[in-house]
Amino acid sequence: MSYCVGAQTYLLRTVILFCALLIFSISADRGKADEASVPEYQLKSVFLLNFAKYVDWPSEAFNTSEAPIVIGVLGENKFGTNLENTVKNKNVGGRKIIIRAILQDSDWQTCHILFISASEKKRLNEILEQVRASPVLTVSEIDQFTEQGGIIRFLKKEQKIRLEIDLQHARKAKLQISSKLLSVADSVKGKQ
Amino acid sequence: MQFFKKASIRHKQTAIIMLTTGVALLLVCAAFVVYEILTFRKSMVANLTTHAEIIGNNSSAALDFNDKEVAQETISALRAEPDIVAACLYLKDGTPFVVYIRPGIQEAFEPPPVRWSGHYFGEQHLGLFRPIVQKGETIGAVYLKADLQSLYDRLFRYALIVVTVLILALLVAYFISASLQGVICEPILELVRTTRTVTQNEDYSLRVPRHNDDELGVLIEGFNGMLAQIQARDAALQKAQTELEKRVAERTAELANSLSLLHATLESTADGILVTDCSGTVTNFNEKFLSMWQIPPELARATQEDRLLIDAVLPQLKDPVVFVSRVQELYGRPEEESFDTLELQDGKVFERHSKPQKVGNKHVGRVWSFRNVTERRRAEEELKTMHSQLLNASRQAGMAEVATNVLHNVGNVLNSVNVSSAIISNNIRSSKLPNLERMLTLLQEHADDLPGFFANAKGKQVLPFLTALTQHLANEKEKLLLENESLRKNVEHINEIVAMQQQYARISGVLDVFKVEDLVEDALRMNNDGMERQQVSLLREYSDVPPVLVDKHKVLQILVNLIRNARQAVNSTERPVKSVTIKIGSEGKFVQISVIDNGVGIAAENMVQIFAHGFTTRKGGHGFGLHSSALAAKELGGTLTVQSDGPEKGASFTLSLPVSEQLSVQS
Repeated sequence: MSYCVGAQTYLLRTVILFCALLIFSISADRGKADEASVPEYQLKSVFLLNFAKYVDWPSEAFNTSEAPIVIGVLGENKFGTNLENTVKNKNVGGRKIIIRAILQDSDWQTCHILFISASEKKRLNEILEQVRASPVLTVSEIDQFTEQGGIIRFLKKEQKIRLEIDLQHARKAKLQISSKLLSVADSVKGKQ
Repeated sequence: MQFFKKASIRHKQTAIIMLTTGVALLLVCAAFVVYEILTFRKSMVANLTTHAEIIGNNSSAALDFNDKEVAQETISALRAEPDIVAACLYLKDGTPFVVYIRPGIQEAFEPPPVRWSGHYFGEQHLGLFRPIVQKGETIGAVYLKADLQSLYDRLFRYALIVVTVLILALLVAYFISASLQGVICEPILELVRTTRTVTQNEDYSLRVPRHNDDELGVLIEGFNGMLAQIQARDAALQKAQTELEKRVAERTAELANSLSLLHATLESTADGILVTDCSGTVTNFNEKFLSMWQIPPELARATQEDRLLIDAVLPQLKDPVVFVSRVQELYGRPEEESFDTLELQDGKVFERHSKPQKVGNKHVGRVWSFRNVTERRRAEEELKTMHSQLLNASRQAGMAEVATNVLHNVGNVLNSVNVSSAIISNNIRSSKLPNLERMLTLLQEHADDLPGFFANAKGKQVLPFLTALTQHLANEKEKLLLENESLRKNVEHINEIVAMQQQYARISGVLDVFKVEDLVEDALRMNNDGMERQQVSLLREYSDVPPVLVDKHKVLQILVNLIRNARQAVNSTERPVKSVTIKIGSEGKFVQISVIDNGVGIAAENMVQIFAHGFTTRKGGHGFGLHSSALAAKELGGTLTVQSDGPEKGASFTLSLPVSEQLSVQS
């Protein structure tokens, strides 16, 4: 009798295990497919847009209460049309989003979010110096970006795009970064 | 509802109170429970909404930045809420981002299709969607699934509380009502008990004590009043019933008596009796009826149908058709009485008499009585014959009376005739003729010598002898002539008598008009002899009366009879003066002839039967003299009456005859 019970239990366990494995493999496959299906810069353009939701600019950053939030891309534009498509018809807190390719240095300060492309790595210090006192959320993929005075850095970790945030630099730029954003950040620097 | 029909008021009242209390309490409890449940559900929703808000808020960045780990971490914070069994975060496009299943939950969880807000209650779960909004933009949704077990637990607890409270409340209500309902129930129960006692013992003297002045008090007072009335009525009824019973017993006895009387009467009567109702059903009959008609008793007892009885009777009848039609006719006329004579085949004669049977004024049937009159018929026939014979005899007797008188008279005269004849015979026998013959013979002997003879001494005697003889013969002749004359007279008298008798005998039965005096005188003449012989003085008091139209023979028969009776009556007394008075008078249209004597008279007790047939006071009388006289008087249209003051006081017979209208008188 006891042998019989043991055999049944064993069989049940095997079945459960098999089912669990099957479910796991299916869900794992779907996860991969999801990641692969979304191109990196599309995701990043979404992130850029989403930053606008979690960052509060000081009032002097906008001329009017309905003035758009300007996202500027400095250097090589790897987003293509992704960024344009993402922000199309979007508004955050009643403000429209405008994408602007930065061609002149003077335009840096008129941006609210400034994406500094890796192509601008060499003159990063110069750029950051220019916008340091302005309420501009600087974002870049460049290594050591936060160490050099940048606020948010995209980094890749385990095939995922992660964030590195430097609150000290943000405070200098008079930007309020939502704790929610910090919660998703891979690392947060410059906490008090 | 069956309960309410049978249960006592106490139980009903308890039941009503309990029911009312229970229902009220239940309603209140239900209201509270429903309110509590609704509130609880609302609070659950609110609670869940708060959690959803928090989760949504906390996970907005994770959604925005596609950070599943952070999202998972955020959502896993729901572990602190034991009610929430599953949760899911949806992306903006509605696809599930992360799923949370409470550890220890075995059932599989498949995230439902996304909704941006709202909640729903399932059987076991509460589902709730909330949008995740960041800076006015909906960036996703959160779904929370809460187990309703706590709700059910709560419900169960409420149910327990309700039941407990209900039971307690009902118990309390029961005890309160039990202690209080005596106020209402006790008088009613007392009323009921009294009613039951009254019904069982039929004792109407009981009364229910009245304790209070409410409706029950009024009811009890009314009940007591009713009892008093019933008691009074019962007593009256009892009395009436006793009387009634007594009367019934009496009536029953009477009835039994009259029944037995009826039965005895029915059976003792010589008639056969049959009683039918209006439809012809037999209701009664007697044994005589059965035996008369030779109906077997079994048949009569077995049937109620007169039809069968009639069928049994019909073959015995000479004329069954008339019988049946008469019966039918009588059924059609219930009020009619009937009398029929039925002749039977065997020669019997029955009289059938039927009379309606009435109860009050209603005809309920008919009583048929049958009498066997065969013997009576025969007797009647005989009587008729006898009567006519008797009548004849009486007439003949009357005639014989007349004849006797005639013969008597003739006989009287014949005596004289005989005497005369004897005298003549004697005279002739004692005639002196033989002396003459002897003379002649003497002479013839002496024919030859006549002169000698004459000369002879003897011869000398011849002459004186002849002279004497001649004288003697002359005397004899004279005597004989005298006797002969007497004889002739007497014969003439006989002639007269016979002629008169012939005259009466001849005209018998013929009515004619006569003078009354003549009739009386004729009658007297017929009795003349007796009257004279017995020295009865006859007085005549004749008035002038009109003539009568009569059968002379009958009148004479009566008068002769009356005169003879009168004569005999006076003869039977020792009176020195015997008188008979004949009076003729008239009164109205009648002439009255009275024969009055001062003879033996008639005793009062005999007055009644004096005209009866066979009655006589005279020795050797045949007793129909006066009877036939009375009959004859009746036949003549008159009457014969008698009057007497008693024995030895004489009697007066009066014959009244109707006066004739005719004036011509035959003498």
